[in-house]
Formats: sequence, structure tokens, C-alpha cells
Amino acid sequence: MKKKKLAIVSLMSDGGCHVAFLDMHENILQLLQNVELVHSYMVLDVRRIPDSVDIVLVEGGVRTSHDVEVLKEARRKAKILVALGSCACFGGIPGLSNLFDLYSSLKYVYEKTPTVIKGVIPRENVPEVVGVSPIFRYVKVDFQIPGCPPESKEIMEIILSLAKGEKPTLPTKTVCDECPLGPPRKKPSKLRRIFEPPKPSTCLLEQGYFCMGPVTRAGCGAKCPRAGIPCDGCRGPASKILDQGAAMLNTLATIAYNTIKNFNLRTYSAYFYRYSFASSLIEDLIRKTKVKKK
Amino acid sequence: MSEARIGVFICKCGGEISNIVDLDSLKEHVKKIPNVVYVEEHDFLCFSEGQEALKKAIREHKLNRIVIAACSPRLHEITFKRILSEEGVNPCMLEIVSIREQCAWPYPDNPSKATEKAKNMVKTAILRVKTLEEIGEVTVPAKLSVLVVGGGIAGITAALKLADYGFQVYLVEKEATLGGKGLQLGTVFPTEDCGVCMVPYKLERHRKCLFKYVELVLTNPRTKIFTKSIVEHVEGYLGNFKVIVRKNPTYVDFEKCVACGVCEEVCPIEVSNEFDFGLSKRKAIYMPSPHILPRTYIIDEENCSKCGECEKVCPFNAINLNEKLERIELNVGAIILTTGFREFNPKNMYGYGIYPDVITQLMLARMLDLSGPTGGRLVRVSDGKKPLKIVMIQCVGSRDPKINPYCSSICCSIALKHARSIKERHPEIDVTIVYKDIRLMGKYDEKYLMECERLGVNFVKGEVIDVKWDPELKRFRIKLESFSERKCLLADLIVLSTGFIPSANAIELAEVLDVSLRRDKFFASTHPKFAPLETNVSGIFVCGAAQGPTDISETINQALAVVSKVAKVLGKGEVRVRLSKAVVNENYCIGCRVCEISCPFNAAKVSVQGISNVVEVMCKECGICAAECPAEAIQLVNYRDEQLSEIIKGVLSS
Repeated sequence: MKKKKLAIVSLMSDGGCHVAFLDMHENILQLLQNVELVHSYMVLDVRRIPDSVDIVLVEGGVRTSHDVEVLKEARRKAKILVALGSCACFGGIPGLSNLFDLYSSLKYVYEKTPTVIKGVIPRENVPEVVGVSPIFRYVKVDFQIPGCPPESKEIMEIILSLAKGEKPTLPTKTVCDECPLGPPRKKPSKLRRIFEPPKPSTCLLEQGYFCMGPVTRAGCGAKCPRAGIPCDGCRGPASKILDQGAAMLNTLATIAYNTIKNFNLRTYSAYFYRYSFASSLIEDLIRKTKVKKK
Repeated sequence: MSEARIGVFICKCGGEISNIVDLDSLKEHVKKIPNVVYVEEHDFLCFSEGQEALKKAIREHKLNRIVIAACSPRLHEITFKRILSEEGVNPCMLEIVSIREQCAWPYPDNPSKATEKAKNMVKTAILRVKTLEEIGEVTVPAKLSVLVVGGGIAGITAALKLADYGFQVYLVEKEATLGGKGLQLGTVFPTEDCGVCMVPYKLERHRKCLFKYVELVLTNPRTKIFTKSIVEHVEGYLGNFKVIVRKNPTYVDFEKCVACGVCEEVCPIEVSNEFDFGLSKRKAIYMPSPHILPRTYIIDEENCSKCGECEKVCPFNAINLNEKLERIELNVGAIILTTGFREFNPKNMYGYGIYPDVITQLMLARMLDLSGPTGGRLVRVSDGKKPLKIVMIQCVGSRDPKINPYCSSICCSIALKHARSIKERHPEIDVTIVYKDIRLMGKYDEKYLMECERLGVNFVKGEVIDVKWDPELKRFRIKLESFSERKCLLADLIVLSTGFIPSANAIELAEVLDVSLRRDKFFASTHPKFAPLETNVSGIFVCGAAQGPTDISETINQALAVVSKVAKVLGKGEVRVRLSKAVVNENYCIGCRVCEISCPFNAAKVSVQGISNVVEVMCKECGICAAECPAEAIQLVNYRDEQLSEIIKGVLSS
């Protein structure tokens, strides 16, 4: 059997998903028996994406016009295009910058950040900066591997099944299903911040932490809640959920109405949409109201 | 499921629709939509010719989904559903678009806009009808037993009739005796029977005494009575309610007690009798009235010192002072609420509570009762003398926006009844009724008014401003305003016709049962005309004064109506339920219990395996759980996210 060609393309990204791919350790040998890695800026010195590739993993979301070009090229050359990691799937943490307009984001990064002295916004020989968006806004995506970073084991299993021509599946349930701390037994009485130490073996939501477990796709084995850290929703919404943050607010409205009734959504958007803001329903709304204000 | 074959039927409504909406262009538009195999317009789809045309088209073109663009579904939905099921199509596969009310009528001057909207709405309906699912029915076995809460006239009537029909009846009464307010009334209208004797009953010519009536309940093998008991917890649904009744200790076993009265003689404690509103004295172990049933002595827990004297002397060992509180679990198919009413307490109004000679109608009823504390003698409470001038003040605590805005509806009749019997017994006593309006609701009440006028009862229309005791005259001075004229009346005895308010436990009970109350705190019915005795929880009914002040004949009418309702629902021993309910997809459910917390009907429960389960019979299709579910695992059948997004697509497409 001919080996399938695999390429990893990097857009707006810190390379973490790429590292997660390499993090399979010796399992990579098993993977390489089935696929051939043809393009990866971390391990191969191949500058351009080869012409015909079976599987292309795209890491990172879209931030610049250059990203758009690369992405479209990858789509042209790929038989199967897979979004790798939460930035590619939902826009990821950078997506939160869509809460602000482009100019003020650039100004902050290049001029106002405390570590910058006499900085200027670069204007020459740089691609045009556009709003952060997940890659499905530009090209057709065949499969998504969410996570920040994605689980190495999951990446391997999915690539293997894609290489065999099967349709891989993601868990349909949410993190709560895998979490040993159990469902909330009573309504939270007060709100807690992440630096307050939690009680052991009690549901974090019940204790008053904003744990995104109920609405986040399972598959990670509830690592964070097991360690006493509330889930921050890195694996994005589960398959049926339209909007992760809205689903979470819905949950809280049922079990902690008194705690959240005075919320200003803008202030708390980083809690509920940490990874999925760029693909949320409310993002469009905020963008539109911003245009109106101008 | 076979391929969708959609038929679209457009009604002209005799020009109401076709004069405004351009039906030809609507038809052209509809024909282009995939899966539409047949389009027809008709003058009147609801007429028999239209119905025949609909049937014929369904048969000839093998249609399995129907869209009808006509008037509001409120008008003819049932008709069209019937036609569908007659032709072997599941009646759920129907969408009705109201192009008359929503397109033709709102835009009479703008036909193009009306047509545009009609096209859009019909397209939306076609997209939606494609996604509809068939809804089945399920049959659940029902318990042939009924819980009646409240042992007044309504409760006794309902219990007895249900027992006649073969149901096992549990009667829960919070007091130690049955009979409710009826026992205190003296005589009752319209037939002037003694209060404990009830109206002629069915074909029996002689009067039926409540005394006997209650005895029937007591002796019937199918009725079980819990006195001094309260409904503490209810769960379940129509056909299968699980009820926990808290039975407080009565200390006296009414089955053993023969009411010999030995215990009363030895009891060392004496207090005033609240049954007679303090007109008489009683012991801590007592019998409120010789007519009570079960005919037993009662121990007043508050005042009893538990000295044990009565226990020693009782010849039948009926008394056990060490009796403990009990909790009893019952399984019933339906619940009837007959908790009744109580008199509004007019404290500090018109001197009530300040002067002992200002009394209420119920106290007057005790006084006029021949077996009452005064033996039927009319006296002033303060000095025991016969009053010569009596003034009755109507509408105390009712028809007042600040207290109770509603009319208590029976106080006028009560006042007339009392005025008449006073005048009949003592023509020399001067009786005046101060009223706002005389409102007589009963069939026979007009007779009372005429009788009273003949006997010389004075009627004064007006509002009482002030009541003062005049120590010189030793009489009350009542200032009132009548037709913008100030008047002053003198009185020896003032009788307040107080309004009626719900029984003290009604609010508590409503919380236990999840039954809604009206603003006036009486039990609310689902529809004032079409379902006057049904509450928002199916399987829980209300009758008698628990749903508003009513007289005895009306109460008995309602009790009998409820009995027939219960017999209809439970009679077959099974309940049929449509399955258009919330359903849980086990592949998505995470057992977070949000549905359990948010369900107002307690239908959603998370199992031990951590999977939610919606009990079909209890689900009322409100959709709250479907909206709240964080994992979107619960969906409402035919209102699933996919189906709703089809509607949105349809609306946005043009």
C-alpha cells in the first residue's frame, strides 16, 4: 500500500500544536509506517507545500492576508484538510482581540506594551492584518482536532484512521462526563476566583468556579478539573452546541442565577469565550454594533 | 421514512385572502420548491367540498406531508388533522400557515407586500414540514384511587360519589372532625335546612342530614379517612401520584370512642370554645358540637397538660396520650383539592376586636343555631341582653382594592338569610342592612330579598365611615354616607358580613403540589370557562370554595362535576399520553443535572448511570430543559435545533 502524504501547515500560531504532534514520542514510528511526512517547518526543510498531498494539518487561525494565501494554497493541494488545534478550529485565544478594533490592538501590541520602548506599528513589507478568524471562514474544512494543545494520542488516532480512509470520530459528550468530581449537587452560593484553593473531590461548579466542563468537548480526560483547576474550555463546544459561551451562560443562569444576574458580558467574555470567541454568534453582533458606533 | 411528498393547499377564503394575496404568483413560487408534488387552491378548504378535495388529493398523489395556507390554526387545525388521520397520514405531518390573519388582513392596501410575506411564510412551512417527526402515543396504567384533600361538604360529596363509582378514596382533613364550615352554619339557604342537614338528595324525598352523609363516608369500605392530617409531599403524574400524608396524633381513637363524656368530666382544664367564637366554654378534651363526625372527643393539644386523668377513666381505652406522629404513603391516580375557605378576619375594622358586640355573620350563625351555645337566643355578647337594633354592614373585606378586590358572592345571601330568620323569630327587633350593592348569585336568593322586604328589614345603600360606642345611650353610633348625604344609625349589635379568603393551608399546599394560585390566592383553574375545575397540573382538580367563595349548592355541583372528570380520566385504568415531549440523546448527555434543577414539573431526573431521563407522562413540553441543557442533549420533539434552524433558513431565504 502506498503511503499517504502528510503535510503540516502553520498559520497564526505559536507552534504548540506542531509540538503536540511531535509529542507522540515513539508512536511516531508507527505513524510513519502509514504516512509520509512531506512538509513541516519544524522537522523538514521543505519551504513550499508539495503539489499533491493527501492530508494537510493546518495549525493556527487566520490573522493576516498572508495566512489567507497560504491557507487557500493548502486547500488547493490537499485532498483532506484538517484543522489542528483550537486556533484553527475556533480562532483560539487570539480571537479575543476581536473584542477590540484592529487599530487599537496593533497600537497596544507595538506601542503600549510595557516591554516596548518607543515602538511603532510596522507598515512596510508586512502583510495586511485582518480580524482573527478560524480557518473554516475561508476554506472547507474536512475535520477538526480541537484542543489547546490537542491530545497527541488523539492526533495520531485521527491521522491513522484518515490514512486508512475511515471517518474518524470525536467524543460527543462534554468534559463533565469524564470528570470524577461529579455533577453539581447544589447551587453555588458564591463566586470564587481561580487563586482561591478549591475543596478536594467536590464539583468545581458547585464550589462557585466558572468551570466550562458542561459545555466543552470531552476527550482530554478532564485533566484540569482533576488537578483542581476549572476547565477553561480549550477543546471548544461539543458537537451539538452552537455557541460555547452562550451554552455556559445558559447553564449558569439555571444553577447560579443570583451570582451572574449583574454580569456585563463584555467583561466576562474571556471566561466564556476564551477559545471560541472568533467563531461565536456574539462576535458578529459586537462587530456590527462597533461599526454602528463609528 | 419514505421520501417526503408535500402537498400545498391554499385557501381563498371566499376572497378574504385571494383579493389581496396574489395566489397565482404564490403557486408559481411554491411549485419551484423541491419535494412539493402538488399545489391546489380552493374557495373554502374548511367547507365539506374543500375537505373532500383535500382527501382526494392526498389519496391520488400519495401525499405524506401537508401544508395548508389558510386561516389561523386555532380555527380549523382539528378539522384538518382529522382529515389527515382519516386518510392514513399521521396528523403531526401538518403545517398550517395563517396567510389570512398574518398576510391578507394586515396589508389590505399593499397587496405586493402581503404576497411577499405569504411566499416567505409558505416556504418556511414547507421547509419545516419536511423535518417533522411522527409522534406516537403511550398508555400508562393508572391507579384507581383518589386523594381528596379537605373534609368539608365538597370533599365529603366527592369522596362518597367516587367510592360509589368503585374508586378507593383517601380523605385527608386537617381538623379532627369532618364537615368543614357546614357544621357552624345553623341554617343554610335556599331551603333553610339545619346546617348539619343537607339539601334533599337525589330521589330521596326526606331530608338528608349531613350527619348521615358523613356517616356514609365513615362506614364506606372504600373510603379511608385521615383526620388531623396534612399532605406533606407529592410526586408523580396523572394516574400515578405518590403522596406522603403526615398524620398528627389525635390521641382519641374515633373507632373506639362512643362519646360517653366521662373524660370531659374529669378534665381539669377549661378554655373558651373557638367553634362558637368564644360564646361558650369547653374543656381540653371536648366535643365542639354534638353533631360532629366522627362522633368522638377531641384533645386540644395546645391546652392539654397530659395529666392522664381522661386516659384512666375512659371505659373503652380509646385514649392514648402517647400516640406519635405518623407518616403514611399513598398511591393515588388523581388528587382533588377541596380545601375550602375561611372568614376574613376584620380586625380593627368597624370596632371589631375592640367592642365585643361587633360580631361576624358566622358568629351570628352560631347564635341563631338552635343547638348552638345560646340555644338559638339572640344576645349581646357583652351583657347577655337581647339587642333591639341590629345593623349589618356588607362587603367587609371584599370589593375593597386595598384588601380583597373580589366580591365574596355569598355574603349578601347570608345577611338576608340571617335578617329573615331574626325578623321571623323576633319581629320587634329592628334590622338594618347597610350595603354597597345587593348581589344575589343563587337561583332562589331573590325570594329572600322579597321576604325581607315584606318582613320590614331596612335597607340603606351607603358606606360606613365610622363606628363609635356611645356610653350615654349604651349603643353604637354608626356614621354613614348614603347618596352624598350623611346619616347616623344606632345599633345594639353590629354584624359584619365579612368576605371569604382561602383556607390557611392553601398556599403551603399549592407549593407542595406545584399548583398555581390566582392573585387572590384561591386555586387557579386552567380556563375559567372551559376547564373551571382543572388545575395546571394534570390529575389535580379543584372544587368548592377552594377555587373561590361558593354556596353549598354550587359546591356540591362542582364536586359532582369533578367526580365525573376523575371517573372519565381514570375510569379505564389507563392514561393515554401524546409523546411530543423532550427527549434525551444518551450520546450527548453528561448527567450535569441542569435539567433536573430547571424542570418545573419534576419530569427530568438523572439516573444512577449519570444519564438524564425525562418521564414522558410528566413532561409538559415547556422546552425549558431543552434550552438549558449545556450539552444540547435534550431536544423537544418537532422543535429540535435542526428543525428550528430550517425555519430560520426559510424566513431568511427571500
